[in-house]
Amino acid sequence: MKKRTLITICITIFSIVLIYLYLDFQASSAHIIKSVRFPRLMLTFLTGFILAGVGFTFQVMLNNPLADPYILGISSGAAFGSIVAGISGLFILMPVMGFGGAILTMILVWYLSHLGGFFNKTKLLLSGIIIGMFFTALISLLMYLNQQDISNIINVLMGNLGKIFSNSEWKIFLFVFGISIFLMIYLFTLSNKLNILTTGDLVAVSLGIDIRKLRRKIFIICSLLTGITVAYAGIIGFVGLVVPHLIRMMSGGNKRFGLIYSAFGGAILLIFCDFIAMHIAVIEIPVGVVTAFLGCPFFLFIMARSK
Amino acid sequence: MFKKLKYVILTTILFLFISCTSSQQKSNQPRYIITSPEIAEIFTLIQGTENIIGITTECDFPPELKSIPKVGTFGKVDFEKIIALNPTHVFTTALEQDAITIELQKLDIKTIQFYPKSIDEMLAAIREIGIILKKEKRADFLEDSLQSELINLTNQPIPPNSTDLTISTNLPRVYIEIYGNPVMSVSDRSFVGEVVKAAGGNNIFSELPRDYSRIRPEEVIAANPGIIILTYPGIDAAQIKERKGWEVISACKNNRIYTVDDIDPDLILRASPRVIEGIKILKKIFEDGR
Repeated sequence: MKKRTLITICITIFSIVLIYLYLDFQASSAHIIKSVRFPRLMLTFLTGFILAGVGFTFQVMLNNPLADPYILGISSGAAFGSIVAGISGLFILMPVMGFGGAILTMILVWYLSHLGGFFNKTKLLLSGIIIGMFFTALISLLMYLNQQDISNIINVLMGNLGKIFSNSEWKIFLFVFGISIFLMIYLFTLSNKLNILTTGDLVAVSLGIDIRKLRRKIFIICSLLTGITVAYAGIIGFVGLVVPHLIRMMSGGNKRFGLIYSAFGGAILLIFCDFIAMHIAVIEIPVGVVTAFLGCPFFLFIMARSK
Repeated sequence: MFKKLKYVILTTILFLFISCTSSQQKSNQPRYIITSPEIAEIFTLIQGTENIIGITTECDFPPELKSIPKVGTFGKVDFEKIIALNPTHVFTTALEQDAITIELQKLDIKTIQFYPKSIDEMLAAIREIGIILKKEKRADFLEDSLQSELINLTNQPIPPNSTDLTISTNLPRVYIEIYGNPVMSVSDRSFVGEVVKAAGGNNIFSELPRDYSRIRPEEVIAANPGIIILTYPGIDAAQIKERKGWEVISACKNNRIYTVDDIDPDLILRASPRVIEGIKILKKIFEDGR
């Protein structure tokens, strides 16, 4: 117990220092902190929070340790929508079209996973992967045909938290932020049922849980949340995969608060990665590259330990 | 049966012979394909569209080029089309076209590569293309007149009672945005950077890791430029002013944001003779607010 409080204190201090540095490092005026860095911090926090939370939920729901928020193809659809807006020069519409793409993909995956009349997690997984691959192919085509917009496309595919908000966009974002937090809290209220799901579908059914309804509900909520992150920040890999594993290793069997720990852990990790992405090179590098750089060795470490 | 075959073979050989001689007759005239819009502008200024048999879709100036067959885009040409057109020379440039040039050389097609990165290099290219086209006199005349016009434009009369130092601090601080997502600008070493300097502007990003580079939006706010020039379509001044935190920039406060409607970006982005026109417009923009 003592060890755990020590870890909690360390992480809290680290987070505070990190957020202070994130806002203040090399900032030339208070105006910049308030109107450029703070919105970026909010976006980064929300993105990491959702990615790791959804990643945790998917890993439990699909009973698959390799699941991440992007596994059900939502990200590819959202990225496709954003890229279509970007190459048409409609930068302002990128989040809207991205979210539209996510909704479209969600409907497609839903429909496909209900083909044949029944619905289970394997069908959901396969439908998601197939639809995701389809949109990835479309993105590749757009990339090939629109080489002049390559930096915009890379931003969507490798993640970009440096979005410039317009004043009206910022108000919309604050609204979206509120809704996302609300959805995350709702997801947390489902975590008891989710925990039962990990013991197997049969046990869950015998305990009176409608597993299909639960899976559908989680699928829709998580798709909406993933759509929001991709629409604003592009595809940022590894946070949603690695953080839930790390939290599970650290908190042991306690799965009740796993979702919340994961979500906060994801937010802190992403803020850290974005801080590095902003300052390590002369030019800002895509944050997805940094998360992958940190995530890959870490993933190997987990694999080695779990042996 | 064999007799018939003989006739067939004989007529085929005759036909081939005739077609070869006819193509040889054609090749007395040079046949040029131009893949770079900048070179197309220089070329047509020297000898019009004469002898140009193929261009890429980006070569859109002068408008007479429109009727000439297209062989692809700047980054991707159709090699079969080029071979079918049987050019004597293909004019290419660098960047994406380095690879195209190498491919064309493999096909034994003569290539001439020009990549003017500055105004001086553009002027030199005019002379060299004049030599290739055997129109040295015309090219020299053009180059000389552009040169003198440039000197006239850049030699600003120094106002009395001022030292060099005050002049340089009086220069308008200019921010050039060449792409919006991510925001990208140019350094002084880029062609646009040189054009801005020639027109009497002070680029806020004089030093960047690359000539055309991604920048941090907060650096623009900190540099507080007096003039913002947007060289890509689909954006207007209102969108710039709406950007969170940008309302404090003096260009936003004083409505000094210029879009593609105010200045055709080709005039300042392309290393073509039309850059003189671009410098004139920029100069007018810079002087307006003084």
